[in-house]
Amino acid sequence: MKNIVELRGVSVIYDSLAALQDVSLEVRFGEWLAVMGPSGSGKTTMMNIIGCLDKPTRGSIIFDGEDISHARLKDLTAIRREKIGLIFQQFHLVPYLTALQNVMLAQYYHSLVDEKEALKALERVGLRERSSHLPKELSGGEQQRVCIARALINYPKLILADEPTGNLDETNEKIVIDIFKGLNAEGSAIIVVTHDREVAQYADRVVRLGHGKIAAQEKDRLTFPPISL
Amino acid sequence: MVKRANLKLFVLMLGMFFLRRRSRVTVALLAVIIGATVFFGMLTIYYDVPARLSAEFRAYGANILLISEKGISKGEVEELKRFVPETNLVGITPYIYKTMLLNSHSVTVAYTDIEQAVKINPFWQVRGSAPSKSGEALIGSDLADILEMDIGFAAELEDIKARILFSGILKTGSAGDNFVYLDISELGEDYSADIAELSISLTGDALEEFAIELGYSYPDITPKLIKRVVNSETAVLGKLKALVLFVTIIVLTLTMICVSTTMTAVVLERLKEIGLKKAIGAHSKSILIEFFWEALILGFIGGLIGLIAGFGFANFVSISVFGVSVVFHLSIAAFSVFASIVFTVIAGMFPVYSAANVNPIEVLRGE
Repeated sequence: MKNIVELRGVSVIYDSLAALQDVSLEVRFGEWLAVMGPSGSGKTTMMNIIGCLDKPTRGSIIFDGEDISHARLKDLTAIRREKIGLIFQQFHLVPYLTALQNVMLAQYYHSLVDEKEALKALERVGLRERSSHLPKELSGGEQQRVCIARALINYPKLILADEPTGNLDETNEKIVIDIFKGLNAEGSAIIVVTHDREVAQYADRVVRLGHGKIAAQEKDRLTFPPISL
Repeated sequence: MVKRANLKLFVLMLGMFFLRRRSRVTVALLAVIIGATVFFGMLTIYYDVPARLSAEFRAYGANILLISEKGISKGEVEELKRFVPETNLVGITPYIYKTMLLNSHSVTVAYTDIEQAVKINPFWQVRGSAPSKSGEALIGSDLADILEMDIGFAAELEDIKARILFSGILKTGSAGDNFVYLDISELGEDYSADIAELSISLTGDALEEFAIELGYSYPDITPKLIKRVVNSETAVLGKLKALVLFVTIIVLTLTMICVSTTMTAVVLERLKEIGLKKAIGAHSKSILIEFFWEALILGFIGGLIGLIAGFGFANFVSISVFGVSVVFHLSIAAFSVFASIVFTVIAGMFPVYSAANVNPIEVLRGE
């Protein structure tokens, strides 16, 4: 199967400090990958590299068959817009726009605004009734679901989530996981950076980072060893 | 070309920003309003007050003397009244001087249009009243003292064998205090005046240009600027304009710094929003366009409110300092709103330009 993203010997060095060291990783289309590791292990740096938010110092990154290691910033922006759905731990919704408008914002920058589509996306995350609410009128779980609806509205090839359940209670965590399951079942590749074993256990594969390197990879998620955080 | 649905969302986003971020918008708007108020107010003062004061300066008396060797007729005086733009004409009056015997004393009798003469020379003080009917006259205060005359006294003008009644005593503060003043209508239907005094509310180059034009149009009449009056007016106005300009530049510079700082603070507060938009794929250009329109609307609304406040400010300053109210100039108003928009956009776009190039991960990291 083709890879949606491929890291080849990627290193990211900030002020002589290596956040990632010679990391190689392949993620297939339709695969659900969980990236785990303690704080400072390089999880967020890896997400930034895969999410085209940052560039590697060394090595190369192939995204959807295209080497983007030396792509210009505006080209990386275009890849984010066209092929990636980003989900943040802090949701990052525009505070003065309603849930619906926040979702439509992604359509606006992508191509054409379609209110019906945006409402469908909100329906999918169970928030159609809350579409006219402002972020401050929504709970943390609901805000995260708006963030997910915004991420999936443009049918991205890859959904990239950074600690998507980090700020949620158990009920909302379950809702989010269920949404991910549904998306994955439909063929979306998902990469979730998480501390949460509950979230990681549903992934097809778990990658564990330590000190900027891949410390362990486990294909069989059921046998993946417990992680001491 | 932005499609209709995108345009709708774009307008909606702008509206939402102004409606839902009222405290931020208010802060930015206040800064723009203050800037626009000062700009429009000072500009109005700069242009209007000197113009209004030049009319006030006419209290110094006539600023053009009209001389003609063949004499100036009544018809010519009437024509000249029409020649001068109505808004600039303060007054015009002919003078005919004759030496006569008044109760056996030789005196100078000045025939003039007394109503116009009083208008041209507001500093003239008339005790009693101006002549209102034939046979009445004014007597200069010094002459009245010498001849021991007073209001209501009558005397004989021996040369014309006419008895005149002094309805008032005139103090001009000049040699005119030794004259007897009779209204020029006493001379009958027509006359041929030695000179005429013209007072118009123009100064500097405009006054000189007018005098040249008058000379061309009436070749028999020589207009002479009364240099003493004209020069001092021009000098005072020049200094006043320089002072207002100087204060305007300083106040405007300070206001612009204030507006710019406020706009920068407002933009930097929204760094996270800019970072998010970039993260989900917005071009820097799209972000610049959004902020451009926000700044444009802010500048427009602030400029309009600034017009009202600035006019009040200019009127207050003008009335309290110069004693004259200002006129609302549409051209200055339009320029002020335009300047308000341009400056707000520039002040807003500088920080946005650097913010639009920010790396999203820098601003989205952490809380």
